[in-house]
This record gives sequence, structure tokens and C-alpha cells, in this order.
Amino acid sequence: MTALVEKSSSYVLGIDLGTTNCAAGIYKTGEPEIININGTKTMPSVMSVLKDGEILVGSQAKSRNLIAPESTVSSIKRHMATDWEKEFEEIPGKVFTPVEVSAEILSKLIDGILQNETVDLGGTPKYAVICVPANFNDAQKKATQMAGELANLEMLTLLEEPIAAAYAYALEKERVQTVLVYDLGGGTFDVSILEVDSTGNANKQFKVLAKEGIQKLGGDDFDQRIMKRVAGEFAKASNIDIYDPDKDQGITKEAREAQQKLLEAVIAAKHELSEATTTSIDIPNFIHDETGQPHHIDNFEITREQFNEEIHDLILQTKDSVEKALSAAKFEIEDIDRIILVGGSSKIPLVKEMLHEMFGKEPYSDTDPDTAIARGAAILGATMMLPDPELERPEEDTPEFVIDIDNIVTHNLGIEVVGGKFNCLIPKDTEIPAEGPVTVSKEYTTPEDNITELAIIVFQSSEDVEYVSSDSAKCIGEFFLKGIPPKPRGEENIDVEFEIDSQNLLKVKASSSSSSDELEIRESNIIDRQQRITPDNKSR
Amino acid sequence: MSATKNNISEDNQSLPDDEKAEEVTKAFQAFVMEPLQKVSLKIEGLKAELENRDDRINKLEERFKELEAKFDEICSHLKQIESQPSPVKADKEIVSKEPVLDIQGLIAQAKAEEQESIKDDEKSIKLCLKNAEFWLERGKRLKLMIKEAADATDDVIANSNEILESLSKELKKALESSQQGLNIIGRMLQRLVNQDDRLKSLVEEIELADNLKELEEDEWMKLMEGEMNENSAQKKINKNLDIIRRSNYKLVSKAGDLAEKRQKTWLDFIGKQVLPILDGIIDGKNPTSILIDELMEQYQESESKLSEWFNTYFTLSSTILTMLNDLGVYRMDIEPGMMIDFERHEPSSVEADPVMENEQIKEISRDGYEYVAHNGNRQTLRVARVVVIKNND
Repeated sequence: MTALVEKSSSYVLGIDLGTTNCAAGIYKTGEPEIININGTKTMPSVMSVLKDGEILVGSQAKSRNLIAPESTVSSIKRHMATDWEKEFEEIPGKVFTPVEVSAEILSKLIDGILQNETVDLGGTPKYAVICVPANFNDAQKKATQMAGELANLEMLTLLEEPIAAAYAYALEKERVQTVLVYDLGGGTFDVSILEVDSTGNANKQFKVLAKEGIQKLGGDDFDQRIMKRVAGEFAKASNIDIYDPDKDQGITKEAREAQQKLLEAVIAAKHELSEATTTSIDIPNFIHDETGQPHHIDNFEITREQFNEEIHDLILQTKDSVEKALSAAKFEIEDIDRIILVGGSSKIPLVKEMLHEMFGKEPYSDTDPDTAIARGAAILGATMMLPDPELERPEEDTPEFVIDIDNIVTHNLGIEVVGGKFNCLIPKDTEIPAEGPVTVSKEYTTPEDNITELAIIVFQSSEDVEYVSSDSAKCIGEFFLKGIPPKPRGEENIDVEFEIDSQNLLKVKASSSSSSDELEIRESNIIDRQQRITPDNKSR
Repeated sequence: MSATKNNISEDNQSLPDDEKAEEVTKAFQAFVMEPLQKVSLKIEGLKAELENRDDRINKLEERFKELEAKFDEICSHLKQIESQPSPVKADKEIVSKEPVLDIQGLIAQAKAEEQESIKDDEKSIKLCLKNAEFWLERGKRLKLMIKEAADATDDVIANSNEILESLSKELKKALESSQQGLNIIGRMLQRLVNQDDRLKSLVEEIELADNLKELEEDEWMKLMEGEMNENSAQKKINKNLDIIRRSNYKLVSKAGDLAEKRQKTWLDFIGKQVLPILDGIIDGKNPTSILIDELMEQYQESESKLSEWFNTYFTLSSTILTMLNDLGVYRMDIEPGMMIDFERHEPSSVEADPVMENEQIKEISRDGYEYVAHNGNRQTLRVARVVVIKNND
């Protein structure tokens, strides 16, 4: 008897697998459409394991963070391609890696999509384009790809988030522009400069010119600043510090509840200040002291100016990144035609003011900043050829154009050589043309007599560095080239070749006159510096 | 195995000679003659097949010769035609005769497809607009009810201030901070009404200006001008039908977005603007009840005034709850002891309690609310915040 085979959908999911939330969309009747998950456009990227081993994902999992923090994982994106792992008490013997947690999140995202009755995908989603931050290294990208595969998704490609946002913007209508994508989310900031040309009927051209970013800066930091300000004023008036349980004489539970109330009120005030110039926070019966007397937050006024003051230095940090990106692209302010805002925190007026002041023009904010990335990924997905030719989509759900992207290399890429020095093979910002990967090879020689084995240790760095021990240099993989014919020092040539494709995925090959080996930078290759061979016995 | 062999061998030794000979003959027949016969039959078959194959090759050769002759005949006929000075009229007619392109038929078919798609889109838009209209009405109703509730609470709070003023200095001082809480609640409600922007979004009328796109017959005709080839005409029709569908789908999405936006605005307004006011009342009511009990015992002469003053909390919460119930919003029915349900409850903190089970709700720190639609569908408007049991095993 033959088992029934599940029918696959011919639609390609565009997925924004965010640190805090994720979203998915498809391309339908000429435009990208976001698929609601349980009635909302985004789903929290959180996983939690119940007592019986059942896995919860999304808002329910997020709710469990307090009650069972040890069984709940959030912001897993920050741990991609690290040695993070977790064994949940509820599932003994099973160790979860970031790839597996991400795969669970993706699986539940797909379940949510399938439960949405308003979208007919014609089968189970099989193909996807998943977005990754521009500053993700090769190992992190590979790990994301593996998570997709583990969630039974066939990855057509990975797509960098700012590029996805640029697709969503540029394909709204025909445009020939140089755009700057300013992506300020809940926890990270990215800026990219791209040239877009969406006027061609058959080909839409995109070229990445520069990328910069700050790994830990976002809307959560703004909320914390305002909370501290309000709580500080409240403490002066009431002598109750909701942030210091020792000081508030043991009303820890109440203090925690007060913090939650305040966070909600601050977020509401922040949203209101996007429209209004002033708002006030009122929380009647905010907290009760030990005598039972209530204390209130009574008409705490915040003007937009005060809010701006609080977050000004953080916004200036993003400005520095924008300037760095401009200089990397060798551009002046006037070379930028459009500034595209992406991410929920980009709605803050100070962001718009800063960019307006800097560029002398209003940033573009017609594109929904919360879903732009998933929509861009959905557009790219729809233009791509499906590996299964039998799957057919309605004509109107397949664009008549293809997208060409010329990307650039995100980091300086090289190997460690004698003396712990970083030897760069592919510099940051090297162009990667749409038609093929960039290949660079260099010749090295053996550093000692009769060496038969050499460790090839691959590093990346966002800055120009001399030594691999520098802060910005990170080891992304290592392998041994064996079978080198024993010869006197310097007499045997070792060729090292780096090949990087438009997704910034790196392949490293090394060869001697009688042997060769190669390495694809995968998560499993990430190694701790301590575990590697020491400089003394290392063949350099 | 060896035992069986030995047995067989022992049995044979006991048979008479003639029977033995018969056995040997039978064995010879079975093991030698019969396979030999089979092999010879196979050889015969192969021989016959070879002969057949030869026959078939001969036949094919004959057929090939016939075809060669035919080919020569056709070639000479073609040469004859080429050498003719002018083609005969009949031949010319045959060459130039092409199927006539039925443009009218193709356009009729395109119109039918276009109309069918427009009909579907109209149906979807109608449904979305009906939904949007429903939420607009809800918005108008909510706006009106908020104004009524704000006016009613204004009176109630003014009354509570009057009672407080009439109390002794000590009582006034004891209840001053609680009264401040009540005043804040009144101001929060009034602000909802006075800052019209908050309520304006609820009743914002958004018009869908564009009509569904369709091409008139003469427009189709114009598009088809100069078309001679059926394939290319059909391609053109499909392309234009696609443009029409895409353009109309944008209107369907716009109508859907409108309904979704109005519903979201309505639910957000309740969740983020109205419920925090109700929370404030409840957060004040529970701890103040302990204080009131103490004060009543201490100042028995003021018992009725204190009771009337404390009643303000009940009147306020009941005014707002009645309004919410009228709008289909209900408080979730949660009791301590229930197991936490992560779809409806959110832990605000954890506590150990050996007599209770892990993940049991110990207390409710903030009420949860749900919206119940006319068809009975329940939607969580805001999860309840609860204190949950967590015992260290």
C-alpha cells in the first residue's frame, strides 16, 4: 500500500525571522501579501517547553518566560552559529541548538499560516526565502539555512534584510534611485545603501553599495530610558523605587507588577508621541506601600522634546553608522535619493527629524515598516524558479520580471598567518556580481621544515585589523590540510582560495602540490579559540 | 541435516533390486531427460525466432525499397512543379488559405472571463465593506458610550469629593490618596473625550474612490487592432485580463484592509485606552476595602458616609463594565486554583506554595477580557495577568 503524499504549495514564503518577532508573506495578484498568524501580522520568536514536552511557540511561549524562564528561549537569533545549547528538563536527553530552536519557530509559523483560512496556498508551504541581517556572518547564514531545512522548508535563497526592504519599496512602482535603508527594530540597527532600478519590464536591478549596523540598539533601549525617568521621578515623590526591591521594603511582587504597568504605559506614551507633541502618563493606584496607602503616577507629562533628549545619544549612534555607510559607498548626502524607514522604532519622530536634517529631505515611510522585510522576501521568492516543475501557480501570482542583485562582501575575510596576523583575501565591500561568485586565491609557503599538515584558520572582521586577536576579528572556521609533501621550509607552495557568492556564503579551498581540502563555513566548524592548537605547535 | 541424510541412505539399502532400478530410471528421467528436453525445445524456439527475424529483415528491406521508389517519384514531381512557369490558380488558393481570426469571439470570451472575475471581486469587496461598516458603527457607538460614561463618572467622582470634604480631618487625611486615585480615573475618562483624536480614529470615514476596472468592448477591439494571429491575440487578451485582475485585487485588498484597520482600532482603543482606566479602579478598590473596614470600626459615627464614599469604586467599575458588556466585551472568568492557560493568561510573577500544584493560578493580578462577537466567537482582547505557582521540586 502506498502512503498519501502531502500536496506542496507552489507559493514561496517570504520569511522575516526576526530577533523579537517573525512574519511571513506571499506574492499574490501582483503584490506581496502578509499572512496573519492568529490574527496578527507578526508572531513572537519565542519557544517554550511544557511539562509534558509539548513545545509552545509565539505569544503563548512568550507568556511562559516568567513562570518557566528555564524552559523558555527568546532572541535565539542572537545565538545563531554559537556554541549555545540547551537541554530542557521536560525533554531529557535532547539538546537543542539555535538551529533547532529556530526550526521550531519556523515550523509553528508554518502551522499558523496553514490555519489562516483567508489565504489559500494550495498545499503545505515547501519553498521559502528567509531573511537574515546584513551583518550576519557566513556561519550564521548557514545556521539559518539549516533551520529552514529542519522545518521542512526548501530554501530557495537567503536574503539580507535591508535588501528585502529595498525590494518591497522599489517594486511598489518603477524607480531608478539610490536608496538608504534605515532599519531600526526592537533590538538591532542596520543601515544599507543600494542602487535600485525597477524600470525594466523583465529585469529589476539592485546593487548593494554599503552596509553598516549596531548589533544591540533598538526600541527596547528607548523604553528603558523613559521607564527609568518616570520611575526616578516617582521614587522622589513616593520614596518607592520600583527598580530596587531591597529599598522598597520587600514588596518585590508589587514592584514587578508596577514595572509591567509602567512598561505598558511608556510604550503607549511612546506611540502617542509619534503623533502628538506632548502626552501624559496616568497610572492610578500604581503601587501600595506597606501601610496600604496607594501611590499614583499622576499626570506625568512627557513632551516630545523630553523624549528626544532621553534617546538623543542612541539616535546619534545610528547617525554615525549612516555616515560610515555613506563613506564606505563613497557617497555624499546629495547622492541619496530616498531614505526608506524599516522596523517599528523607525516611526519615532526624532529618527525622521535626524534623517531630515542630515539629508535635507523627508524619509519615505509609506511602506509598512513592520512587514517590509517579509514582503520583499515574498517578491523575490515569487520570481524564482521552483525546483519542482510540476508545481504551478496562477499566472497573476508570478511576476513577469526577475530580480538581479549585485551584492558586496560584508566583512574582511582572510586567514591567520605566522605571528597571529590576519591576512586578508577578500576585503569588505568587494562587489559580488549577480552572474557569479567572487574567487580570490593567494599563495603561501610552509613555515617550517618537513611539515605535512597545516591548519587553515579562517577569520572575518568588520574593521581593518592587523592581528586575529583584535576585538572585531572572529574565527569562522578551521580545517587541516594534510598530506603535504615534507620539504624544507618555504619550498612547498600552499594555495588558498576563497569563493564567496551573492548570499555572502564562503567556501575555502587549500591545496599543496600533492593534496587538497576544502571547507564550507558551517555552524559545526565554529570552534572555541581555547580548543585550537596553540601557537607553539601550530604549523604556520 | 546429517541425521536426515543418514536416514535416507539407510532406507535405500532396504529396497529390492527391481524397485531400485525403477527409482534410478525415474531419477534419471527427472534430473537429466526432462531438462534436456526443455533445452532442446528452447533451441528449437530460438531457431524459429531467428528464421522469423530473417523474414522480418527481408520484409523491411522490401519496404525500404518501396519507400525509396516513392521518394524518387515525389522528387521528380516536385522538379516538375518547380519547372512550371506560373503556379496554377487552384494551388495558389490552397497556399494562401489561412484560418480566419475570430476577434469577436475572442473578445466575447475575454469579456465573459472579465465579468466573472469582477463578479467575484465585487462579492469580496461587498463583504469587506459590510464588515468595515459594522466596525464603523461599533466605533460610533463606543464614542457615544464613552461620552456618556465620562459624564456619569464625573458626577460620581464629584460626589465622592463632596463626601470626603464632609468627613473629619483624620478621615480626610486617611482617604486623601485614594481620592486622588479616583480623581485621576475621572480625568483619564474625560481626556478620552476631550482629546478628540483618540476617538476620531474610531469613526473615521474612508472612501474607496476607485471603481473596479473593466474594459468596454470597443476598448478590447482597439487593443486587438492589427492582430492576425490567434496565439498572439490570445496572449494579448490574457495579459490584459491579468492587468485587470491585479488592479481589481488591489481594491479588494484595500477594502479588506479598511475593515481590518477599523476592527483593530476599535479593539486597541478598548484594550489600551479603556481597560487601563478599569484596572485603575480595581487596583484601588481592593486595598482600599481593607482600609475602609478599619476606618469604619474606628469611626463608627461616619460609617454610612464611608460606605457611600467607598461605593464610588463600585459605581465606577459597574458603569464601565456595563458599557463594555453592551459592546460585547466581557471579563474572563478566572478563579484561583485553575491551571494556567497560556492563550488567555500571562504570568506576572511566580510563587511557591506546597499545597498547590505547579502552574496553578494563585491569584489574578490583572483581569483579562475577551470580545464576544454576535456569532458567539470569542477573541482574547487582553490576557489576564496571574500569579502562578512554581514549587522547587
